[in-house]
Amino acid sequence: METIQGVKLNEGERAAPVLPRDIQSDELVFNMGPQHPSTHGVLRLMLRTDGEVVLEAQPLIGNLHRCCEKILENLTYVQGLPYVDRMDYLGAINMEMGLVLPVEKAAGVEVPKRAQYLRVVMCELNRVISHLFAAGQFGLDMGAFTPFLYMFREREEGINVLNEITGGRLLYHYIRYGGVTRDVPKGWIERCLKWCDRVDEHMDEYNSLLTYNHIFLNRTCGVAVLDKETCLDYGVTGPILRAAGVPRDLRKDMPYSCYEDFDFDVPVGPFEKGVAGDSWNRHRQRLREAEESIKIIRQALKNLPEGETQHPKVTRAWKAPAGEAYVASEAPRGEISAYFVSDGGKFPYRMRMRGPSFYNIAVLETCSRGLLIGDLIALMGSVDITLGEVDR
Amino acid sequence: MILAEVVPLSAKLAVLMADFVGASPIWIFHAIGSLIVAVGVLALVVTPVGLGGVYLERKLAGRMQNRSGPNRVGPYGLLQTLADGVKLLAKEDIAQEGADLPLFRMAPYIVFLAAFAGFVVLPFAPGVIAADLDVGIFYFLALIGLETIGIVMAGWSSNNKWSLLGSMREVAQVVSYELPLGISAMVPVIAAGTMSVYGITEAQSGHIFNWFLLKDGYWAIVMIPSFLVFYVSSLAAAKRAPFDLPEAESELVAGFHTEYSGMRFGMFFLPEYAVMLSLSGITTALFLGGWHDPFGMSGEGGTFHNVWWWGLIWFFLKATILFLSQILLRWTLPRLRVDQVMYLCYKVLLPISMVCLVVAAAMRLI
Amino acid sequence: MMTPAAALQEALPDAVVEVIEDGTHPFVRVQGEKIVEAARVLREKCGAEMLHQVSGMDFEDRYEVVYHFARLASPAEFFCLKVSLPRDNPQLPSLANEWRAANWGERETWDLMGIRFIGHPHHYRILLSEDWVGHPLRKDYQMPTSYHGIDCTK
Repeated sequence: METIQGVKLNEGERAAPVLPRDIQSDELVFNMGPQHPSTHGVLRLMLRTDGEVVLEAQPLIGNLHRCCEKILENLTYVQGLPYVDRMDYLGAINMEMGLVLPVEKAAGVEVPKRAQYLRVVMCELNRVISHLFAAGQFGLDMGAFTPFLYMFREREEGINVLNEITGGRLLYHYIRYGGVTRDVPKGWIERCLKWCDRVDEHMDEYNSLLTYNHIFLNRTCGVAVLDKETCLDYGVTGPILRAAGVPRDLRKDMPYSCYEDFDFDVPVGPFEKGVAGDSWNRHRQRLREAEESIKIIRQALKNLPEGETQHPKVTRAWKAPAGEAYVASEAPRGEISAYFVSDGGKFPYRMRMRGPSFYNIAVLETCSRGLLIGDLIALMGSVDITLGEVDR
Repeated sequence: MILAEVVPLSAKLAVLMADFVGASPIWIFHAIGSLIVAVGVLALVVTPVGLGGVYLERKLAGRMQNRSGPNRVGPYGLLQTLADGVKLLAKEDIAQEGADLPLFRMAPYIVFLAAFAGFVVLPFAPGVIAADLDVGIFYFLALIGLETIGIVMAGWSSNNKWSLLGSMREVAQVVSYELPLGISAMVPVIAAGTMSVYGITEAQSGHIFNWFLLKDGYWAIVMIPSFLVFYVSSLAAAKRAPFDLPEAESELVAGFHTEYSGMRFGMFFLPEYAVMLSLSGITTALFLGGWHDPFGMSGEGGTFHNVWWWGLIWFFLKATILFLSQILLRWTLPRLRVDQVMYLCYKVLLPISMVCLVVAAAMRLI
Repeated sequence: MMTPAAALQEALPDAVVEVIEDGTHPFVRVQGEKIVEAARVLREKCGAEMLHQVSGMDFEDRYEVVYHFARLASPAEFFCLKVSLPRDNPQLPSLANEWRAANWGERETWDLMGIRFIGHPHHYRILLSEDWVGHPLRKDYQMPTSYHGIDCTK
């Protein structure tokens, strides 16, 4: 069997059986265009359907391509930092980590411990608000309007907490090479902990309203299964891989930035309902991960070491010596990494960014066959892409 | 069986006009009288109720979602719907290139017609009914089918594959749900012995346990499932969540009315609320006792027997409670997928309603 | 589980061009024609379960394609294979039939760097529009002054 691109599909590789064609009817080819309420950005999908059953969904990306890599090659190190925020604008701090870690490894820069803990706090804060957004957006795609706004209530408070320390609500520019920009303001730690309590309190509300709702379960359990082999084949990482049953989390497997100091679980699917790798498990995975991130934030804030927040030698005019490195870190949507090559000059020679959603989206090509259009929406909503990191 | 001798308003007006003019044939005056009554129902009942319904929905939805809802236009945002109407009127009338213009223009009017024509059989109060048709409930159910034609026309003539998909889904849904709707509506018809909605309401006079829903004897066994089936089917017929596939925002942008803007869109928007309200009205008339209060004061010998304003208050109270429940369901529940909607109709609701019908018929014979 | 250098030197000794095992970025440079076999060796002998990234590099004297593979089982690590290609006609066999991740990764490398992948099932541009001329990430790329009549100079 082949898709329209001639990609060979193995035996038994379908999401659901395709309906028999004894009734002769035409196929419908249409466009789920760049502007659409549930494509999470400017994603264009060419759909070929047989009525309601999707035969093929070809994602056409590139509408948000801003040549991030070329720009980074023509700016100094400090000047290039804000561009990476714009990749996954919902989890921006994690993108900055993805940029900064390979450079620090190649240059051999030791980041002070206080800065590392602050980076962890920021990354996990950002992860929680990103997962709240993703879970709410998934509910919205399924037609549940209200949980989205409840999650936004908590997200708004979290954004205020981040705003106080970084100065930005969505895009932060907080992490620098060798440390972080500024230290915590007075009283910030208490406010952050209070927000953590709030999210914990409301998690049950989200679960009872959305996650365990009977109609939602019917819509998402067993729907659009991305199993372990498919995920590994496509390079899919992050919550999708964990929901499929693979216990891969870079924070535990290849720890960076002092993550080995913290005690947290890595939730792995399948959970109580559905099968491993279906849309419900991906949704549940995100909310469980948000709970674990709250634990990490509490531990990090309690044990925040004293010290400086920036490596003294790494200034604005810093340039990395010649070398190369490849480091990956765990972003809310998958594993972000950068292959960094430097020739000692004032600009980086090559900063090849890997956006996790780029590889996560590719599954749509083959795994959407046999789904109803409503299930396709469930697939896209649960895979949770952000076009900024697909297109860069 | 009580069958009140009710003189419809149009007949009263016709007699008045004929007396005034002093001539015949009387049928002209009947026609003019009906026209005046229809316009009156539209202006006095439907429009305020429709506008108020939209406002109520938006305010309630806002409160449920931790925000305030409209509160800028007028005190407490009461004039919001009016402002929206003015805005829609002022918009440019866009018809797409390649759209089938006659159908495109006609479709909203058919939907509007079908939605608002349902109000003429609603018994608001004793003696306050626009037209007491002998086949009232049948007429009402037929109008829901007529609305489907308008929606198919809208989807097809828009020259847009998404609209087509939306209208096809809508046809599948509404046509399927007319079956349990009709069959479960027959159970009160059997209990009352007449298809006239006024007659069915009259048959429920007395206190709360005379209402068909809670009727004493073994009737409640068939009435309660019939009520539930009718209620769920009315949600599907009104295209309200969890059955709002035809206009599923996150999947089809706006379904069959994607290409409509300005007042043409208003012609789809307002009938949606009108259909919700008329279905709530019919549900109260069939199952919840219509204009009768729960204490029995509007029955025979009661203090408020045949008092029109007492009945009006109770009718609107019950219909509003049903309307509010529809709003609550919409903003709480996610959407069912199209095959799940069909499953619910054919494998759950239809068998239940048929069983209730057979049992009701048997009980009537015995 | 062997290291990639050891596994490749054992299985494909004449394909290995260069081996760097210490430093911040250990890698093995292999010959372009043997990349599919080398990737298979990594999968079978070293436990590489996932293709993590495909990068194209543009140096003065050569092009390079850098593949990063990920082993998920403990100890989790990344393996790197590099391929050097001549500047006049950079092409090499495609990994798209081994790992689906290479499908889009190689399309992007073709799109932005201009390196051909022989045997790729759908060898078209992915990020830029189909009628774009040139490969922007090359160091000698000249920005166009206009695109379909739109002025690009400002």
